[in-house]
Order: sequence, then C-alpha cells, then structure tokens
Amino acid sequence: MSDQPLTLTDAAAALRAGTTSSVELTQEAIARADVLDEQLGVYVTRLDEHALATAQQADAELADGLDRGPLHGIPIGVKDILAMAEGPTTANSLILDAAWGHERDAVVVERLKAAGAVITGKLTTMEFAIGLHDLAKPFPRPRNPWNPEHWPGGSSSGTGAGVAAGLFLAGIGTDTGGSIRMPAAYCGVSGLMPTFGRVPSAGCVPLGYSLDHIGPLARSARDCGAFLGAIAGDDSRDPYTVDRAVPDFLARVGEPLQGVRIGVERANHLGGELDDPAAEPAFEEAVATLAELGATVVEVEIPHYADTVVAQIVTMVSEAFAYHREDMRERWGDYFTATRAFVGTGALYSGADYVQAQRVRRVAQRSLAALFADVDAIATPTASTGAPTYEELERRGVMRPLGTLYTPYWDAVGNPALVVPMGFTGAGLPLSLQLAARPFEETLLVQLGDAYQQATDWHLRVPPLAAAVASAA
Amino acid sequence: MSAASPAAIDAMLDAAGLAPSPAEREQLLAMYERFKPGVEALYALPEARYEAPALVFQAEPKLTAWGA
Repeated sequence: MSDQPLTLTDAAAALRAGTTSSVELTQEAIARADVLDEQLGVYVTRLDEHALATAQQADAELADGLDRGPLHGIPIGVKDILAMAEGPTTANSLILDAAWGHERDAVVVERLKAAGAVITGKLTTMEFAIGLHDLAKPFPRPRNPWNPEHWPGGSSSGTGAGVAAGLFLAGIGTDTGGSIRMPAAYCGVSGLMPTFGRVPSAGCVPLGYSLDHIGPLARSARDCGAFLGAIAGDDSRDPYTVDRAVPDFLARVGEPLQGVRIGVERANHLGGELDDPAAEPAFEEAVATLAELGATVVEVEIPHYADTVVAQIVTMVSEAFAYHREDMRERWGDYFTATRAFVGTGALYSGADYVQAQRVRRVAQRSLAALFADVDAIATPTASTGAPTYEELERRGVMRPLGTLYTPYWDAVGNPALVVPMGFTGAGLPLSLQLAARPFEETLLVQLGDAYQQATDWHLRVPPLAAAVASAA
Repeated sequence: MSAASPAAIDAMLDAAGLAPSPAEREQLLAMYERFKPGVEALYALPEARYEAPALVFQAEPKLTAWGA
C-alpha cells in the first residue's frame, strides 16, 4: 500500500497539488479494508464500485476546474443509521424496516454527495446507536485498532475504528450521549459534536429526538471543521435545525490563543477509583499546553453536572422507547440484549419524569450560559480510562465504563464539544481531551483543537496494526 | 424516596406491553433503581421550581417530510 496523506486536510491539498488522485486515495482505502475490515468490523456494507466511480468523477471534475470544496474526492464512511440510496440502511438491527431508507439519502448524505465526497460504505454502529454488540446477531463486531481485544467505543464504532486504521479519512458519526466523542476518544482520533440544530438529522434513524447530533470524526480538529462546513445548515425537512448562517469553521485556525479563557473542570471528571493512572497527568499536560499557547486557564465547576446527566438519561431512554415501543412489544428477542436493557427502561419513567428532565435541562442551560460569560471554552477529559476490553464489558456490563465517560452532559445542554487525542494509557490505549464552547461556537473549538494539534502529534499516531499494513506494502 | 417495588416494576412493564425474561426483568429493575434516586433529585432542584421545560411547541412548524 502506498504512503498516502494521513489527514483529510493534507489529502485535499495533495489532490489540488496533483501529487495524488481521488482514485488513488480510494484504492488505498479499499486495499486497507481488504486487509483490516474482517478483523476490525468497520463496515456493515462496502460500496467499493460506487466509491471508485465517484472518485473517477471527482478527479475529472477537479481536472476541469470544478472544485466542490475540501471533501471533494475524499474517501469517507457513513454510519449505518443514515439512509443512503446506494445501499441498505440497517441501524445494525434486525428490526429496522428496510423500506424506511430504501433508495433515499439522508439530508447529510445529500450534502456529502454534493460536496463530492467519496462514500466508501456504511459503517458499524451499536444497534440503533445505543448499547453494545450482541454476538447472537448477524452483524460485524467492531474492534479497536489499538488492540482488537478492546471495544472501539460506540455507538459510532465503525467510524472511529475506520478513521484510526486508515480505512477512510473521515466519517459521519452521531452523538446522543457521547457516540461521536466516545469512539473518537477510544480510537485516538478527533471528533466534533456540533451544536444541537446545526446539522439536520432528517434521514437518520432517531435515538433521542432532542439529543441527536450528527457530526464528523477525523484525524484532526481542522479536518472536523472542514467536514462540518459541508454538512451544516438549515433544512426544511428537519424540525430541529436552526436557520442560522453557516460560518467558515476554519476561520480562526492559526490565530493565537491570547485572550481565550478556558475553564478547567476537574471536580466531576478526575479522582475516581476507576481512573487510569495516566489520565490525570495527560489531562494536566494538555491544559498546560493550551496555557503555553497563550490561553488563560481558570478553574471552574460545571453547573448541575450530576442532575443534567440524569436528565440526559431520562430524556434519551424515554424518547427512544417512544420510537421502539411497538417493535419491542412484538419483536423483543430480535433486539440486541443491551438495547433491550437500555431502551426498555424507558417504560419505567413517567411523563412527568420526562418533563422534569426538560426543566432541569433548561436550568443547566441557564447556569451554563452564566458560566460562559466568564470563559470561552471548558476543558475536561473525554474519559478517564482507555477503551475497556470486551471481556470486561461482558463480565461487568457497560455501565461501569460509562461511569468514566464525560460526554452526556453536553448532549443535554446542546453545546458543541470537540475531542482530540491527548496521550496514551500504560497499556497503549488512547486518552482524549474534551473542549466545549457556547452554542454555535464550533469555530472556536476548531481553533483550539488545531492549536493544540500543531503543538502535539497525538492525533497523527497510527495503531501498530494499521501501520503494519502500510509497511507491508 | 422509596425504591419501586418489584411488583410496581412488573406492572409498568406489563402496561408497556413488554415481556422480558426473569433475568432481564432483574436487569431492568437494577437499572431503574440505579437511576431512580437521581430522577427524584430532579424534582428537588430549587432552580427548577419555576423553570419552563426545554420543550418548544410551534404552531407553524416545518412540515416538509423527509423522503416526500
């Protein structure tokens, strides 16, 4: 296999410099999938022929001077809960009606096609974007490229694993409680959950209607910003998208961090008995790096943290159960075991519980807005451990590792959050830094993440398993 | 706050039309009991006493259906 660019940004530059072609990038992506996909379980459906045809078209268009932007000619993957006309949409489930997404594109997929992206296939997800893999069901088991005995995180498992292993340069994930940021963190790549309402979700199988965010996973923060620019913006088919101008998310890349105030939250995120010993030093080093780059760092406490996380859970399972109740009545055993365990609890909360959760979400938003009057961004670890093993998940259940994951708060309040790699555990598993900002300030997050990544190289580390594929070429 | 009785859990599952296995029923009960104190705490949050929920009903919503 050839030595193709590692990041979307570099690949886009190489395409325009003529040092590579979309067909070459796509052939590389396909060749890597040929070697690694069976082991890593990245794809539910591969679309090799479609991808190569799209790549040929992209090369021809670029040669003719038609430039559709930074995704033009770039191999990407799409989580298999978004409809795409060229292939089936399964949500990794036996339940989803095949007719639902048949020969249709989700709004985001429409936009990716218009941007000239080369969609290489539909990617593994936890069933309906929640829970864990079920060995009794006929879907690939996703594995972590840093150690296949470990979970890649979920629910955008295939996207995280695929970007880390170089099966594509970027991909679509969705995030209701952390499903972009968790696999990005566990797989050692970057992930950007945009502000709620920034990206339309029409054509994406819902999990929690008021919590679902669609966004990119890629090597770098800059890649994520470029990707978000192609999929953001209002759409009449989505009741939740906001009619708001889409900025250039790369506009502040390269600007100094002087004047940027970053609140650091430790109280709810570090010091737990399950924490990996490397997590706290890695986080402190990341914070120090941001300070060295010019940011002002202050200690903060995120308001109503525990209550808001509970509100997220009540909201998610209640909204999910409304969607799934009839199928759960009729086809309980066809659902994955973990899906039943999570979504089934939605039957146990009352309507008043749901509404109270929405009142608490508003309380949190109000208090958080006051905090953001004093700081521009908030930094936390994304998780305080590396990815758990499958053996641990099967023995202890998924709730234990989820207790060391610090993503659901931001789904509940709707603010954007970017995660970037910040080091490794002693066992060689990635650790991750989370940065959150005011609503619709993704541009600041991309600036911060890019500045951090210009000073570090964690985001460019390649899993040995994937590096071995390249060196064997 | 008292934990919900297993009978109450059974009644709620039955009302929802779900038929989990006994082991799954125990798991659902455990999940519920894990979070129920937190849910009760949501009602005790003083700042929420007069707060409106994060729900917005629009008389004139976007009505274009995806795939229409």
